[in-house]
Amino acid sequence: MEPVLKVRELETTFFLKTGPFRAVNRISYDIGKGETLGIVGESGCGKSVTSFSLMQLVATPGKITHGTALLNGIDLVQQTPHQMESIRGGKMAMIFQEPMTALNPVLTIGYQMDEQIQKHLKLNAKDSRDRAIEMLQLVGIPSAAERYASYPHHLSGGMRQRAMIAMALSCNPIMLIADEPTTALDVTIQAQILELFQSLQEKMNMSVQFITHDLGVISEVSDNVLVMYGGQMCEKGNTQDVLTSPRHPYTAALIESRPRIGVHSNRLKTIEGSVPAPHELPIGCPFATRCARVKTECWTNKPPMTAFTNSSGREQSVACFNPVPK
Amino acid sequence: MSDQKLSENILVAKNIKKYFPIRKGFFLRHVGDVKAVDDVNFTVRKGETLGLVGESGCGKSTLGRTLIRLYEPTSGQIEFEQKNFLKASGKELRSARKDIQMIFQDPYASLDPRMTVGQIIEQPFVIHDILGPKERTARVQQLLELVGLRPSHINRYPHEFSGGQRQRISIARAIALDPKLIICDEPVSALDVSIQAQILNLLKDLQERLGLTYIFISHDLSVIEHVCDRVAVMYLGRIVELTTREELFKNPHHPYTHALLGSIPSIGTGKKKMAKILTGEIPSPINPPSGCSFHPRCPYKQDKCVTDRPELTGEAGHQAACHYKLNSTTQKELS
Repeated sequence: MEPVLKVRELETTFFLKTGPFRAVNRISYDIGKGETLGIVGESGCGKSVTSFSLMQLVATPGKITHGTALLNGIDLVQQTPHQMESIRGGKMAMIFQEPMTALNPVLTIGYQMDEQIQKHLKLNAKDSRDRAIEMLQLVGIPSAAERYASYPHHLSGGMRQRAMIAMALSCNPIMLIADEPTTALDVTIQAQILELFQSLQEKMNMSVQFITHDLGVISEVSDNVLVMYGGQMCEKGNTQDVLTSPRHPYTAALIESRPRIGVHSNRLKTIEGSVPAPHELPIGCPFATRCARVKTECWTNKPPMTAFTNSSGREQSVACFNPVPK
Repeated sequence: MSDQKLSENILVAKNIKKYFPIRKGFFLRHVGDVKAVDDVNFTVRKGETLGLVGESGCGKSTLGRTLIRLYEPTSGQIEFEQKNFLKASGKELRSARKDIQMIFQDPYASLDPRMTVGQIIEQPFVIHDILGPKERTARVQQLLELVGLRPSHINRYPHEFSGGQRQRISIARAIALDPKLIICDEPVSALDVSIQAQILNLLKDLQERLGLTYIFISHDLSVIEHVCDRVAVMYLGRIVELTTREELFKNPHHPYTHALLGSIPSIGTGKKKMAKILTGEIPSPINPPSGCSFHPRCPYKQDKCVTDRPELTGEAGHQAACHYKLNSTTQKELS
């Protein structure tokens, strides 16, 4: 089956005073219908810029400099700003990390939802109000009709995130991008939102690109995972395969440096050093400066993504010259 | 750590309350209180790490700040090394403050951007008027090395460092005066996973080398499990469960602790339907629910919970504030 989203060699460059910096460096992936792809990595790895690029929301001095991103055959990279307006919020919607900054504080929830629904679904004022209230009910907001007239600051963090989800889903998107949607929430509220998310995804059969730094969340929500570091792909494959038998040293180290409940050890494994500054990235593998398995060729050559069949018989790819043995 | 050493209390907190008054109208009439910390009792033993865990708004940070008198408690008693810390003033307070230090969550906000690293770490010596200028510089360099930074970093400014390195600077400042107790308020929650592990290891190393006692505030149970010896779970300004790490994670008594443990996403379980998750949100601390403040969200709620407030009771090693302490039998009966 043809994937809903097909990204090929996407590259986004920021033209800084210190020189061009490739925040996203030739990334390729597919998301099938009803499938969730998790993108995981630490701050500065390019996971958010990837999403912003798909939505054409990259601000200057950033620019998409290479590649294609086909959403049901339409190349998002080539769309004019005007064409993009009819896709954004319609076929493709996005949920942001901090609902307080993503929502407009001086407009009611209802007004912000109506704006979008009327534009994309071409409904009149009354129908769009009904649609908005129906969506607010769907995401579990109590007394939805009253909340329709509320301002964002009237709602708690969890409720605001629900309102954001209602808004994003109001025009039946085929593709949803969720950028750290639960990071700002408490664990018990996070569990509620993740559960809501899964049930809605099943109901609406949409494809999701889920971005987070939390491997636990990735494990619970995604089918496939893409691990990024320094703007590049490290590892890609079925989520459980990658998390249980990682082949890239970065993925492995990331999993091991996490404190886990029930596995009490005196010291945590760490990844030495920190993510290098943009202009300090090595020419070869971006992880070379911190890698325990680094070889001489890692410094000079970029390891290509190489696919192989893993022990569960599924395809997994890794970009490493000296991968972790099975 | 020997048992004898553990039995010595370094800090005893009795009936600590911290209410923030709400004032309204032209005359700023007192119309109510935000009960941020409401009648909390606990002890901290020498050399241990006591964890304070809970969701936002549960009062864990307010409690931490009250303990070092950044906030004056509304009522209650704090004994630090058998002395009444709340009555201390002037010289006595200064010397006590030397012994209790704090590390804050956001290393971007807690370091003055106009001071060099050297000046920042030197501040405690300046304030307490210890050591001459030359010795101070030498000591600062020593401290930088101790927390894993280079002594040559002394003349740099905070913006030249990454988040993890900045947190190391805050730690260097906190240990500068050889304190006995450090209150760590979410010290790793602003950091990336790989950096988080480095800082947690550093805190552990320093504890062993310098014989420190920590009060570790966090919302992240997996971090709490990694660093703490004993844990206090807070909900709406009160401690609802207080026990050792092993007990808390193997045999939690309070339904809230159960729910917290069940909400943590973990690797390896796969895409799953989540177990019993909590409905609703934390109620307002201005007007907390009657009886047990957790009852509106509790899956095991009984009539008694709505009317009677449960106190923190149980054997010394494991206390919980619940009328029906959960175990495998009560859990079945109640649900």
